[in-house]
Amino acid sequence: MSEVAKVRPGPQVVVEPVVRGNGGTVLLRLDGVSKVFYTDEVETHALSDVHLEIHQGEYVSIAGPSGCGKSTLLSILGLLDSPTEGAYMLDGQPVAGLSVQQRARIRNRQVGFIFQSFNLIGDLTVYENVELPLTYRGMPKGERKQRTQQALDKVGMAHRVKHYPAQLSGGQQQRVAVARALVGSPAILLADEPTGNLDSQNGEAVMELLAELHRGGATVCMVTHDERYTRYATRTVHLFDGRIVDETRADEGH
Amino acid sequence: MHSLIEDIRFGLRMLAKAPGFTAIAVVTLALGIGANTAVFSFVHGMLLRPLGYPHEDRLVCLTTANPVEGWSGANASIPDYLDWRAQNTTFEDMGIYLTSSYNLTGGEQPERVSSVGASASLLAVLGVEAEIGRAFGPDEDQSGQERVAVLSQSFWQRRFGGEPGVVGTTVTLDDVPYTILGVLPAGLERAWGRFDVWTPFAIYDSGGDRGYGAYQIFGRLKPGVSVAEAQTELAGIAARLAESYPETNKGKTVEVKPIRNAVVDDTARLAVAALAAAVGFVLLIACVNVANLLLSRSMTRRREFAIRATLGARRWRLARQIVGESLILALAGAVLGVVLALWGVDLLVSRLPDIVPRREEIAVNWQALAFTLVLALLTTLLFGLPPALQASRVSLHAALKGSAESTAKGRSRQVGRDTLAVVQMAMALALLICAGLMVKSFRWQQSDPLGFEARQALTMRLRLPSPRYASTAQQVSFIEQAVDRVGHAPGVTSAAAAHILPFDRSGNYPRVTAEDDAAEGVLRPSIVGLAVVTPRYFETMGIPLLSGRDFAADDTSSGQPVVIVNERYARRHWPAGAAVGKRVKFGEPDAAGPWFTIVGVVGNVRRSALDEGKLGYMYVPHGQVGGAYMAIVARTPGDPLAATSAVQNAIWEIDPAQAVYEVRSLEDIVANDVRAWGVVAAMMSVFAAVALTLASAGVYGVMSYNVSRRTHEIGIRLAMGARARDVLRLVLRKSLLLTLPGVVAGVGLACGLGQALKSLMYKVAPFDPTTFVCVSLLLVAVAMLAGYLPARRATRVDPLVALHSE
Ligand SMILES: Nc1ncnc2c1ncn2[C@@H]1O[C@H](COP(=O)(O)OP(=O)(O)OP(=O)(O)O)[C@@H](O)[C@H]1O
Ligand SMILES: [Mg+2]
Repeated sequence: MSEVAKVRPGPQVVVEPVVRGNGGTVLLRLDGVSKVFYTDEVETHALSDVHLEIHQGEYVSIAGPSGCGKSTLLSILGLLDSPTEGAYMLDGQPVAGLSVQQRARIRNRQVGFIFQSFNLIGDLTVYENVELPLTYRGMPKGERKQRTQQALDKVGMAHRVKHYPAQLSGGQQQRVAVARALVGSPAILLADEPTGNLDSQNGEAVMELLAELHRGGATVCMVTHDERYTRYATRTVHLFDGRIVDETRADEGH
Repeated sequence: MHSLIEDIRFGLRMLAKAPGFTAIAVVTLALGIGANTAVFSFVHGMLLRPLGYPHEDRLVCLTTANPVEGWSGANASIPDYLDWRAQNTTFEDMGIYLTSSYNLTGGEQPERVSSVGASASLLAVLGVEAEIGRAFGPDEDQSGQERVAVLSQSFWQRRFGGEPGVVGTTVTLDDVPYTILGVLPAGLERAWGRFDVWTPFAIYDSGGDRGYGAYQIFGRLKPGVSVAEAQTELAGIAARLAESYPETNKGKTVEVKPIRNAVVDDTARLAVAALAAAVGFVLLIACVNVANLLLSRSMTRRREFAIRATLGARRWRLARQIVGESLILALAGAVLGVVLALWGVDLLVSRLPDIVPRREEIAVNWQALAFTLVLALLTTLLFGLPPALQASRVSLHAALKGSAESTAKGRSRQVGRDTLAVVQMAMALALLICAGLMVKSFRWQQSDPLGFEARQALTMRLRLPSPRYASTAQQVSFIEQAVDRVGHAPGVTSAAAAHILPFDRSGNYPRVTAEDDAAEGVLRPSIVGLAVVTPRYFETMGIPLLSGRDFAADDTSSGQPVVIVNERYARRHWPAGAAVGKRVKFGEPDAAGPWFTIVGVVGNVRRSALDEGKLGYMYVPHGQVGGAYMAIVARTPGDPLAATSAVQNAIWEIDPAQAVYEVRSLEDIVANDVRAWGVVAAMMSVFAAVALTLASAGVYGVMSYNVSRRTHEIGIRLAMGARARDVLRLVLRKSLLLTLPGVVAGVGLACGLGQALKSLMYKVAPFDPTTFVCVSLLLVAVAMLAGYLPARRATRVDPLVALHSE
């Protein structure tokens, strides 16, 4: 925590949204972020001095070999974890120093998570799983219902609302997870290897779904080490050993 | 054998690895085993243990009852006894007796000896023979032949130093020499209770009043005859007697009960049964707790067993491991339980007031211990083994696939554990409510005014020996003098005498008809309590005189017969308030006796810890009716016992041969009775507290398990933006879902139990709303606390770790 405090910007530093070339404002910004894990006298530098900006409406893919720090980066972006060093601005606001409650609120309203292993709650129905983020906002029931329905429509799972996750195929489960991620209209969708547990056909379908959401205006940040899927992204960030080693833009092509 | 030791060694290692589980399981078992053994020993000592007579199953006691008038368990009259004995075919024989006492003179101080005046048939019925010399025979319970005595073992030792030569010599009882025939075995005192001498009771000329029920009767059934058969036959005989002698026997019947019932009365029996039931609940809750713990543990060990099975362990090998662990748990619980039981029995016996029957016979009962041990072992096996065997059947693949728990099977197992927790809650609540009722009742018993002043009063008993004080005039004159002298003794401000004091275990309850009975409309007798008292009794006792006058010295047999009634009786029969001057009569309206004029009304008095003072009560002057068996009450400004020798000397000044005994303070007599119920209430409370602790440990266990099972889910929820309070609410809602059905079932159970305990409660309704509501809230609060600890842990879940745990 002390490291964080050291580099925390002064109170109430408001960074003006910067307009960039591709037209979006800067949504996320990491400045010199490092993450060190301390386990039994071993220090693991999962991330070292990472600078990254993600703009409104971008589709960023993060690629790199196993253990290079992709998931760690995504957890920090999603406020599930904090950097050991460096600053993180979300929507122009510094994230360091937020209380646990405030972080929960941001996770709930600004971030949508999609996991490799779906992470649906087995005891809840498809409908209840998707509705879940909305229930933590104190949203009225009618509105929740409408939004949940819409989200399920978007992913093509509206016909399975009463099913339990165990009664769905992997592809279907991941589509439900996507619906849950977008139901709260978050500022950004964070997907950690969303196709990792799916066969290529289902994987393609989920990728298509994310691409479609992106075309509809969503900002997406996806981790994958499958090079085939990086083509969906507007930009790919290459991580190696906790550092960003390369960035490629889709328009720069291969 | 060697591999069993190996198993046990491994079991020890596994248990040491889970110290929380092991500690809770062992303590739970110990509490269950310890409390149960202690109380069962208590029950056994008091109720179940044979008294020690030969063929005891054929021994019964016979009492009279009148369902129409609503009383039972009363003593019998001599004519009834003679008819029962002559007309039955189901009994080998019957015996009749009366407990009494004599003044033993010839020593340094006159001594009161307790005696049994019995028919010669009684010892034969009981199957008891003299150890030295002989017991008396049928020819010796005839009038004129009865100056013989048999000594109890302890009296013989105490008074005669166990000298066999005393047989054939005489003892002076009530100034009359009795020839000692023999000494009875020590076993008789254990079965019977303490007594000093046993004398023949010449029944045939002891008064033929069929209405005078003062005698206790034992009978020995013929071999093969059941108690029910004897009951049926005697009820028939009683019905015939009721027809032939309606004025004394109308509605009267006979009760035949196993002999043990004569030793421990029904109220004590019910109290002990209530305690036994309470501790049974504790044992059940403990077993359920252990079962739940084992089930939860087996779930977390599914992987271990699956891996062992996959690696080729055979199922019996796995079973043996579980058996080993169960054995260790049960044994550890047992060792601790035995310690608890020994300590508990000791504590129990030392806290019991001496009015508790058979108190000295209570000791740890090893059968009870064995029983609870086996039960504990069975529980651990029953709930440890099946899940383990099941796990060993599951393949490694399935067990390692985390989704297995979300299947229907996993859910039904969860439902099973939840149900066990609900059952625990229900039992704990029912027990808590009953304890609450008993405590409340005890509070009332203690705080409710007695109607008299128990502090600073000394009581003692006198029995005037019959030849010298045979007539009413002799008795009246002695008691008058005694009261007068005691009243003027140093340290005494006032004195009186009464044949029955409040909180005496016995009482006289005649039927009395009231004149101008406004309540009844027709003249119909009602049951009232009766005491024979001297003037200044009310003043000495601190019982307020509400109207009219106290008895006076000139209320003698030559004067008009007078009575004083209590307020309750006056109110019931003359609600308008003019009881003084009205008349009452013993028996039916047309009975031969005289009318007694009411000269005063006094306050109501409680007659026992459980008596609410609701009975009509009547006081008759000793000057008019006499009585040889009296209690002296002396009011003292200071410590009552300090006045003992002054009071005794005052009596010995009149008659140096008069024994004075049962010297006690009135406060002590009251406290002893109330204290017995305090012990019951305290024990109930202890069991209820243990039950509550165990049940909350159960809820804690279930919720803990629930939280650890749902760590992953909680991680997901946190990632979705759930706040700490959302998670807290999630977990607490679950524990509330366990608690509420438990409360509903527990309240239902408590309604039933409360009804059963009704007769043990003082001024407390079996469905006492305050107790029910407060205790239920207490349970909910404790259960929520038990759920709160795991819930707090749940809010601290690190979502990253949780999501990784898949
Ligand atoms: N909680 C943790 N404690 C200690 N070390 C950790 C922790 N989480 C991650 N690491 C380490 O940090 C490094 C980065 O891990 P991370 O999970 O970000 O890799 P990744 O790029 O997502 O790999 P993969 O493609 O295999 O999912 C690894 O060396 C990992 O061992
Ligand atoms: Mg990863």
